[in-house]
Amino acid sequence: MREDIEAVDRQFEAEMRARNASGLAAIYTAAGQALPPNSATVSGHTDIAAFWQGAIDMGIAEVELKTLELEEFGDTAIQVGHFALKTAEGTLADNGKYIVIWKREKGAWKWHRDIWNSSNPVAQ
Amino acid sequence: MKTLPLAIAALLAFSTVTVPAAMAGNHSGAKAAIEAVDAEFEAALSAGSASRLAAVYTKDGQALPPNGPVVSGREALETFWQGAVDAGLASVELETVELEEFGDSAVQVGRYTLRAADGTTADVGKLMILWKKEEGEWRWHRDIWNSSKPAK
Repeated sequence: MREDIEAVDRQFEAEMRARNASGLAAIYTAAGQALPPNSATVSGHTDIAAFWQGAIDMGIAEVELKTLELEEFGDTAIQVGHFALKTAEGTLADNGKYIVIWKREKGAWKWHRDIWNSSNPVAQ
Repeated sequence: MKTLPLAIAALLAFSTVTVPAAMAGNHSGAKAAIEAVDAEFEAALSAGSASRLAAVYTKDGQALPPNGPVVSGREALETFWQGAVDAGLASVELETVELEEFGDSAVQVGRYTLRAADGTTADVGKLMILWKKEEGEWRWHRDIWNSSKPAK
């Protein structure tokens, strides 16, 4: 299960490098939600693709995801992790922490609820 | 002759153990207890009691606050929440949007509203809490949240 989940995270990283918002949205369940900082909850593949397209348009080119804790409960898993966002030049745009509720949907592990925040102080 | 009753006993024990897993997604078991703990967190903040706020977490509990590092353990959590109280945070409302129970773990998605002493809304946002039952009591084990307001 851990290997399957890590493979999905590597896929998210690859879709970000490819600047493929629909590919990023496909990481989520059909009823998936992203809970981004400073934004309302984003629900479903169409809106999630638009959200990540916005991040790509703002210059996010790369993301690194690192699992800190992972617990499995049947077709659900809870992951606590660390992320780093980078621009095309490789500059660190942000880093922080996240919790993802995973669901196995049609046999494939997907992000169902995805919340994160920055570990950096608010820009003055 | 002892084998059969033992096997039945083992099956019964197994079925008892598997009941919570079968109820995963059915939050009837834990919801009242969990919402009582959330109410204690609200009451502790209204009382300005950082030690009561920290006691809502497991011993190894962590808060993952926006714009700061992970806060681990009750002592550091008490310091963190004391800082929030000192900064003027006077009350919080927690609302459960989704709750799923998995035996001694549960995960809650919710909304929060933070208020200053004059009742002004200081922030509204979203939260996710990984709960653990520790020594028979539901506690916050991992607690992450973020604002739904645009960045200033």
